[in-house]
Amino acid sequence: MFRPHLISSITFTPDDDNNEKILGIVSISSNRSVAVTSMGHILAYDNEKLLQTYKNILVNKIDNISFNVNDMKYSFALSTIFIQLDKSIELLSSSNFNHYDTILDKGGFQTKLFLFEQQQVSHNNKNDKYDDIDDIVHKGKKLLCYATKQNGNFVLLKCFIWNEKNNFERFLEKNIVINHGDEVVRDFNFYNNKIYVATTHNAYVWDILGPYQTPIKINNFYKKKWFNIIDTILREEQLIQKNGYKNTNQISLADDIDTNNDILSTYTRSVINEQSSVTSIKSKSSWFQSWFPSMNSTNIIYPNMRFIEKYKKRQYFYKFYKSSLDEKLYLITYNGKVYQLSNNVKENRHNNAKVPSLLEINEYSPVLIQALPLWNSYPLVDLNFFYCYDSKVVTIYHPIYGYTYGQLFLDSDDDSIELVHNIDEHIIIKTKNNSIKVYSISVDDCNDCDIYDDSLVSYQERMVFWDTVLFDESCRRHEKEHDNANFFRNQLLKSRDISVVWGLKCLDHVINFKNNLLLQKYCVSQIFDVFVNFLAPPDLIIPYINMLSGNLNRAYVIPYFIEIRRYLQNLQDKNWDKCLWKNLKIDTDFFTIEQSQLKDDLFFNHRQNISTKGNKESSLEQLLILVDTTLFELYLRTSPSLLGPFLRLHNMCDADVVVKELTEKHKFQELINFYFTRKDHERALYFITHLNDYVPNVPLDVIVELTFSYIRQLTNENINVIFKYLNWIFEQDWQDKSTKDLVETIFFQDTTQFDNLKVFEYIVSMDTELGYLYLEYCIDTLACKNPEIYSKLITYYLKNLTPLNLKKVHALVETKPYYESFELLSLLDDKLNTASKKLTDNEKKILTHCKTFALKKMGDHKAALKILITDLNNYPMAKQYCESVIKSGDGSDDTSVLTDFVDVLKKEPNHNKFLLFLQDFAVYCTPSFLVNLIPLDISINAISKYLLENVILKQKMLLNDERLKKSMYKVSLIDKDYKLLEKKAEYFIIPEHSKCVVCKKPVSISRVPDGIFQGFTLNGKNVVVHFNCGNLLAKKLKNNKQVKKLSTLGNK
Amino acid sequence: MSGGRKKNILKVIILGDSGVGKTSLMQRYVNGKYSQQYKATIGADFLTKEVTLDDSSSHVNNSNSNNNSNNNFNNDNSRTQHNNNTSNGSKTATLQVWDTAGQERFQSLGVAFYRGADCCVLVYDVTNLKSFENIKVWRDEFLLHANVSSPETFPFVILGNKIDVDEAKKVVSARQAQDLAKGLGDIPLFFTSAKSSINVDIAFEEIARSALQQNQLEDDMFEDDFNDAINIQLDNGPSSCQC
Repeated sequence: MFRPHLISSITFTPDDDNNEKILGIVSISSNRSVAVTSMGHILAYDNEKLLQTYKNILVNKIDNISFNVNDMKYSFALSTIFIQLDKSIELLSSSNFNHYDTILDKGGFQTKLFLFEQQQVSHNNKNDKYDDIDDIVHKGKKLLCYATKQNGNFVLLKCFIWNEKNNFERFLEKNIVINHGDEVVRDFNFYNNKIYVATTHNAYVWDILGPYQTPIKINNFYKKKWFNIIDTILREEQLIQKNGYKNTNQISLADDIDTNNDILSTYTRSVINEQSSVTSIKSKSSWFQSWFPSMNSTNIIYPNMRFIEKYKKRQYFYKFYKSSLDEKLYLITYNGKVYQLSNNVKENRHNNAKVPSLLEINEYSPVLIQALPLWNSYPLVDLNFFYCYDSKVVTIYHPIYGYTYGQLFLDSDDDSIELVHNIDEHIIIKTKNNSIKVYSISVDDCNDCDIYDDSLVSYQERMVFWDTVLFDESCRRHEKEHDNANFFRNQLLKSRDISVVWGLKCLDHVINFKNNLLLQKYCVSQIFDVFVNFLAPPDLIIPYINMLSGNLNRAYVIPYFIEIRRYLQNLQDKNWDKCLWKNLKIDTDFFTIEQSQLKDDLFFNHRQNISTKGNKESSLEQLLILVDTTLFELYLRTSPSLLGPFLRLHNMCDADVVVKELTEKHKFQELINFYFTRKDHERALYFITHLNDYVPNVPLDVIVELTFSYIRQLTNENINVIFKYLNWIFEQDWQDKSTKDLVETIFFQDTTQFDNLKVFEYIVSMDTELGYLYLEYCIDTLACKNPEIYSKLITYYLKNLTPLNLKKVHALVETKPYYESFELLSLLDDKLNTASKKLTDNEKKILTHCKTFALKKMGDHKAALKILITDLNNYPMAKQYCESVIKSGDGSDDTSVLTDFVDVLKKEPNHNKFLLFLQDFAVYCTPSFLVNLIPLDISINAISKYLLENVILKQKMLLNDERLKKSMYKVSLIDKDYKLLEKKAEYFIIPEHSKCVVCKKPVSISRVPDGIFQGFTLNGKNVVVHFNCGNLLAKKLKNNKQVKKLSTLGNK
Repeated sequence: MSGGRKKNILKVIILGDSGVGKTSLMQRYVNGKYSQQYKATIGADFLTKEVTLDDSSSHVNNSNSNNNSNNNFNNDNSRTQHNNNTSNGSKTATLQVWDTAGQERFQSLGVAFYRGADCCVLVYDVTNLKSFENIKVWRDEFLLHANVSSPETFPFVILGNKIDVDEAKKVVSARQAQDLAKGLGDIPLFFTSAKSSINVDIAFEEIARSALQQNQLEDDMFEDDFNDAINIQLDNGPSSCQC
């Protein structure tokens, strides 16, 4: 409700006793008003006193006795006050009240003035991702409209237009035909760049800014098949009553739920009942009952609402209403009927102009609306409400619904209201006794419970109020400005409570509309939109599920629960930035019944009974279980095809309920999905393998197939379950696939990572060969690097040393160096020693060669080379070994491996291999290195060839290096020469009148001898200064440089 | 105003993990542009494009527009009346492609956003195995949030994006993707690259076709119940003033 508070009351006292009185008043800011007196003076008021009197401003306008101020308007943009007199409009500057212009209209006016200021729309259509920026800025026009007195059958509509720069642009006037004797123009509105005009009988659209500027009558009227919920309910219930239908199926509390048509399982009901029995939640039921005290009593008739009689001959329009909530334009009639300007555009037959339609949107209105002085209605600025007034009272009401939300009575009985003006949150009243009273209006809900009863209409009334107040952007801005966030929060929560209870009350009615299912569907859709919008606590909605049909549950209840679930999951995942409802932070309590009534102590005295739950997490979990289980049941009964997707996703459904229900309903696939999502694979597989217990005569093959399909989806976490049920499959002697096939399908794949050794142990216990095949798969395909796998495989190869395995072990140790070298050596030695007699020479050779790979990995090149030279007598292999070490090393190892090689070669009985070594590796050695290493018994002559070659080769390399350096120096020299020539070629022309930048004296060749100039480059410009000046400048520049030079870490 | 409602706006929702290229695909299709720079989508926004479809192929007109919206997901109001059946048998429709933020799965957008979708595009990145594995989850979440009446027939299209990358970087094989598409009910699958403009137009043609089919199906089932209005003639009109 709006509450008026008197801020000030100033009585105007004329200077002389000349019966001077105030004729008109207009506000120019929240604390400044301007009044016009009958003497033509202008009075400037603030909220407390008369500031100044500007005398005789309109003195030349009061020649005749009938001087009268019909209306006053103020334009901030134009800094102008428009004063509508009987036959003229006077334009005053709002800064000094200078009268600067007059609009004469000798015929007189039929309407007051209507001033519109087009919003300066700045529309940024950005696609910043691709840098397409398209800014469109519409600057605002200002329009002053009015209608002149009727002349014959015509009324002239006039419009003055100022452009965006506040300069007068043009004037338009057009006639409209008056068909009825008592038809008068009532209202103008500016909407979507068109002027809309309402007469008592007709509505016109006047496209003043468009190409076709003649007002066109709106002839297209439509009527909604169904109106808003409240109208629909009223109409339906009146019909029901008329037909003698008895309302026997009223909503009952949770424990009274009809079990015959049961969508909820016993679980959900038991949860609700359980919750009701918990001490901390006891308040729920009492709260619930307190919200529905008259739940079981039928209260169909609402005496304060009336059916709007059809006015067959006249509509009696009186006002346009532009709602900032939905940005729509409405046209209101005296009898409470409301039309909405519809987008359904029709082309005019004569001129192809597009004409909108009017859509009738209501059928009922409060009785009170008829008693209001609607002809004196005006929009309450920025608040989406209207006020109307008569001599005694100012009433604030909602123009669409007709509910009144506040009244302002004068405090003295001997005075009466003459004029009312409104600006911001102030209402300024000029009384008959020449008083100016300023009232502030504020939102106040203290006495709500005194005013409103528990009827549906009451809730509707409050819901409309809070929706309009709280969810209008301008109001919200207003709240923020007042730094009243807490108030706003509380009102928001209250609004939620009211809206939710409104929805529940509507549902109570709507569930009875069984004779008109389509209508019921429409109402339920609207009601659940409110529940989704206000996030109604699920506990309140659950009892209704059984009362709604499956189709309604599927279409409207399920999306509601999905939405609630989304918020609860965000709470569970601690996504706090997403736990916002209308910018309000919400928590678990928000979804329990306690929270939804916490701020309204007037309604609920049991608040003190509410105990804060110690463990919010468990509460959240309970809520999630409840919501998910409810969803499960809804899907099961109304939309089984979505059961699969639901159960495949993470959910918190009560497992017992799900299993029981799915088993009963034979939804086995869904049950398996549920187990899988819950990772309860053991139970899933148990169920599958015992499928025959539930469905007789399922072929074993099918069960095995199902089991196998399930196992295929499992991961390493469930490896033991996989083994267990694989064994079960093996036991069933499945014909379709062999053991090998099964094992290969599950384990020989790279999409799931298993514990390879565990898998190996499992396979090898069944099939040794397959086990080692798996190890080979791990190494070759999965590229495993676990040394244990290598060790096991090599041990296996050595134990079963077939020619193929011999090749494999050689290839393995050569190409996959991930084995444990010591272990490999030990294995090889063991094999070579213990089975020496059984091994062929070739096998021994290969195994011995294998040792060199292990030694190489260990860095024991000497031992490896010794094996290659001494044991295997294979110089080429040794050479290859050395080369590979040199190639793989960083160069530092070259000498070491060569030394090791020479050491091994020295021990050879002859020097043939040593000579080969010199041939191959002399280039890597310096002469001194070689000479030092040469065995003593080898002649220089024998090695001279290699020595010489080595020296020559080295020298050649050095020579090439030096040549390269020389070439680079030459290139550098040419580059320097070029730069020198460039510098030499620089010149600067000294203009005749040029001045030295230092001493400001002329620099002229004629005055000073040649050779005493100095040139500088300052700020990118070449300048010439005198020689001495140059020294100074150079010094200064140097100093500047030193000063400016910042020390960096690099300098240190 | 009375009579059957004919929707001609095809609402297509693109879903997939963060960074798979949803926005890029949409931009490539609608605006023919690609940006290497990654910017996470906030909430959701949509682009529209006029499409003309006939029995065998679809032709895409050049008229497209751009809208951003983070709040008004209930776009039923924006669906204006058009003729969606041209004389030569081809059909024009406006494809309204809704891009979503993939950072968090279905946790930001309410049910109103998904309501009335005609086709859902599931996108994964061929270099990101997780994004591929999540396709199933995205599908199931969509079915629940959109409250699809017949999940078996609702059109989905899977796009394996970023196929322009080196083969070595691809971790999802074509075979795997085909198996998945088959497993989910023979969902059309396209391997696309928004960067190199590979298969994008073809994929969206299929998307448009599927969406149109779904749309028509819905139209057939649509009961014109709520918003219908009946023409009324006020007695104070010109006809009443004969006397």
